[in-house]
Amino acid sequence: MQQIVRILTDVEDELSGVPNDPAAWLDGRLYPPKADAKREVPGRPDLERYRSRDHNTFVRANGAIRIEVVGTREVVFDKPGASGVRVFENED
Amino acid sequence: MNRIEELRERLRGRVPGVQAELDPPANPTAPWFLDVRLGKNAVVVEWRPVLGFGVSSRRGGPYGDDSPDEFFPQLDGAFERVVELLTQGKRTAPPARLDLKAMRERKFVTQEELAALVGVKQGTISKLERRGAEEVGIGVLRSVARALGGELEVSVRFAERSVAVVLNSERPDAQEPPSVRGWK
Repeated sequence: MQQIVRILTDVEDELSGVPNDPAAWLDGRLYPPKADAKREVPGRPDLERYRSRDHNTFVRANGAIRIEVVGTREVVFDKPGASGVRVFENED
Repeated sequence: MNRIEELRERLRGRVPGVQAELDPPANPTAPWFLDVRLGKNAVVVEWRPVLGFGVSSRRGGPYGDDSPDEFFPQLDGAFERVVELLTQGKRTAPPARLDLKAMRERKFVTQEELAALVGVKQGTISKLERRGAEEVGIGVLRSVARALGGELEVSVRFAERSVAVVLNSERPDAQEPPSVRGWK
């Protein structure tokens, strides 16, 4: 989760033109998923899901991140974790 | 059964063939989602226990865009609108004009939260929503607009056209009064 916070913060710092101020979370800048959006993933204690209106953000304990569109499950972002393994790949 | 579970059951009772999938949060006091589909028509409902229901046609918005198109404080209003969207194939759209209360509700922000963002008391927000901007001044109104993710614009409508008013904070030289000569 710390990783997605850092990535999104870096991207928004570079491109949004809006100062990083999480307290003003309605300022038009994209902020990482809020803690209250968290969902359990059954059978996957190593995985957390964060739901927004149109997206599910999966964050794995190894640092892997995957963002899917709700409904279609279209993958819009998929990054492996430190071990090189993605969110839905097996750790061997 | 909470309010969004009740909404799901009422939809199942009213709309034959509807698919309604609840997406509960880990913390039950956090926002819930209900994904509803009938054929090609899809609607997403967000429910926040203290605030109410956000309703949007499914459209695949950009990442992090969470404001619902329409807001209903009560279950009955949300239910009837979702039925209409599903059975008549209508689409939601963000409204072009809103009063401040509706604007705040669409952002799922309480008066207390907005007051904290702006740095005023909750009573000031309440007064702004009940009596209008004249009661609190343009500075507070500008801060509220920014806290809600926008920017305040003021315009004067003449017979032939509208002209944007340059506010003090937008002027390159705050000591120089803006000229209105030439405008009728």
